[in-house]
Amino acid sequence: MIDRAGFLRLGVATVVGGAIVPSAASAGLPNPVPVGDDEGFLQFGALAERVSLVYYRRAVKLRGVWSGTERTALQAAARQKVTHVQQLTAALGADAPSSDDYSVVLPDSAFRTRAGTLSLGARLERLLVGVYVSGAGFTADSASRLLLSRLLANDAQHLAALCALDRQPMVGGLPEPVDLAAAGDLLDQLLKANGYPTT
Amino acid sequence: MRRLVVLIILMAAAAVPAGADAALNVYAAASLRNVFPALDGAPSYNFAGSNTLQRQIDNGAPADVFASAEPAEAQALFRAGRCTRPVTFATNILVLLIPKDNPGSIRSAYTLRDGGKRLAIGTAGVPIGNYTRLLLRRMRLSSILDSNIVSQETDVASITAKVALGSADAGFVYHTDALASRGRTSELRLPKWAQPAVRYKLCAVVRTGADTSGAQAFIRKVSSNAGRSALRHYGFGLPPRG
Repeated sequence: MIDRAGFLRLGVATVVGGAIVPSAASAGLPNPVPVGDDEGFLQFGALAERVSLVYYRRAVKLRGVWSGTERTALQAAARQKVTHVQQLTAALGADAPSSDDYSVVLPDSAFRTRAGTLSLGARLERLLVGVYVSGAGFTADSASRLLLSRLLANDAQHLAALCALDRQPMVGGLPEPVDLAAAGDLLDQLLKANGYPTT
Repeated sequence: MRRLVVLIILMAAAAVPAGADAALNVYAAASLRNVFPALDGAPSYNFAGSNTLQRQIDNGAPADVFASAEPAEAQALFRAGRCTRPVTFATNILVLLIPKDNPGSIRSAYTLRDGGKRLAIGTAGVPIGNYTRLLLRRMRLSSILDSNIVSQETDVASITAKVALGSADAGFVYHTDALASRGRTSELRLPKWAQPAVRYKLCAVVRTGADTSGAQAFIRKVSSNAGRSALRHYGFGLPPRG
């Protein structure tokens, strides 16, 4: 029997220790060959994971907010986000968004406090997990589905860890699936498309 | 003596290569049909779908400059030694164009999931058609091509005309085309995250008799401050200065 405090410690330790679910890159996944609209989940993931990566890198730099263990956990999460972006970019092939197509715009106000920082991180992870839940159910290509499922498992851990750091238990299992249209509206608020017309 | 001078002038004129005083031939994507003549009225323009123009140049058409709406066509000509290394000079985004009175009651691209609307899109292979299909895959809306009455057009000007004339309830076009027809149409923005990277490429065509210096001068003009200002005025995005 594990008590709540123990569960929360486990959440952080899981991320610090490199996660229960191994990174898909090291797990020898088959190559995804997205079919038709499969691309939607992969494209969303590629951009949202990049936003999440920028979030973790910025969060790590905050001074006087994290313990050593917490900082290590955030650094580990950032490393895993790099892998996620690489995997999704590889899956999308020539259709993948290039790094100079978009800039990430995170609200400065969210990083003023520990609670605000954790809340933004959890919002991003919840969005990713929700879209991956949809993707795992509606993706036609089995290798793309497997990739999304692995990312789902990994990001669910990140979400649990952020909730743990914020003393918020993650209850009710996985978040509900999130519709891509609604998720896209939220993602758009955090992206600046470079070279966008101004008139 | 005077006869000799006249004869020398006539011979010198005859020695000038054919076409040297003819207008520069600019083959450009249909979406550039408003901005290029405004920027430089001197050249002779041929506006069409970029893939059609690429094919014409491949078959020896007398083009001096090629401006395509996606990188593939210009890169293919460059690889074949038919044009200089292409440079990016403008960007664009896709929008959903609807007639001003909106007879289809379309509020967003997602409305098209209901089906039964008259939709105009670019044919596959034309940049606007390729970009539209990529955007729809990203938005998981490819099925709207089956559930609506779709007309496929060979260039973006035809899609714009169909919507403006009310022959289509909606069409996927570039933002710049929507601006040019805004008296008769409205544009609905599409999500940033799903937008394809629309990059315009420009190169000087390599062929016997091509006006190479004229082509380079035109490319410099498009890339100059005045060129960038004109592109911005017509609604294009601009790449960082190279």
